[in-house]
Amino acid sequence: MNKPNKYTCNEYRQEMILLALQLRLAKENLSESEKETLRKEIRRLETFMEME
Amino acid sequence: MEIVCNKCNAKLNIADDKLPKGTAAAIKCPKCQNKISIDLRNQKGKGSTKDVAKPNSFNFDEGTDDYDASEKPFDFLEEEGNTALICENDPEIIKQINIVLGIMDYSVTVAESVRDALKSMKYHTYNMMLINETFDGSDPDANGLLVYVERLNMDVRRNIFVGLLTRRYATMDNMTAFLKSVNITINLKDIGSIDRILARGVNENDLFYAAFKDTAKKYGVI
Repeated sequence: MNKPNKYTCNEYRQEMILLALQLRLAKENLSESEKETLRKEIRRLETFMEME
Repeated sequence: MEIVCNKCNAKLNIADDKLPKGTAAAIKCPKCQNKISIDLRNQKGKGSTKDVAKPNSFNFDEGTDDYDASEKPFDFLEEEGNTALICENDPEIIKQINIVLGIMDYSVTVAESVRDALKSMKYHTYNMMLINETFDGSDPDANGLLVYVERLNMDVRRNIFVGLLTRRYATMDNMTAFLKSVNITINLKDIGSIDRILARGVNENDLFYAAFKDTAKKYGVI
């Protein structure tokens, strides 16, 4: 299915949240459970944004 | 989209979302009454345009598609003139904002209702919008005008500085502004300092977009 050619505040917000999650995941001293939670959230967001 | 009358060179600024996609339309120039034909099937018209039309996916009811000059908020604006739309019900607050915006050299429209605001935006893209989250009896978490702003295409949205007038959030609460798709939050208890709040907010916004706009101009995108 073709995505509508529209970029709004919603798409911008999703991108910023994804970026913030990826930055947090790249930080040192995170426990495995924290890392897993972040990875799950990133996957969920990427699916929602149809990036996969 | 900027449409220039080929007779008197008057400029009409019409948001891309308001133009019918893939069809021909005619509008009357409000200045000289010349009929300007716009053919969006090939995105070219007899009146010259500086942009291309974008898909129309806006579903709010703004009235009919017919052009009605009386719905235009401004008859004539200087080329560099800034415009602002106030969406607030309290006359005292409107008065205070009006004075400040007057000093800041904005031409101001005061909307009486959400419908009225949408009508004003039909033919004009404002530089600034100040929206009370409860404007026109709206649910602050489902304000139709804020939803409209949130759904604007970014090439239109980034040209509008949107301030949220609120009693729930602190002034300049950046996280709330991010979540609400506005540029700044203004708590109404700080309305006495709105001149400084707006000046700072607009300056920060201009700085944020400076590099982008310079680059876009350089490559003829805007």
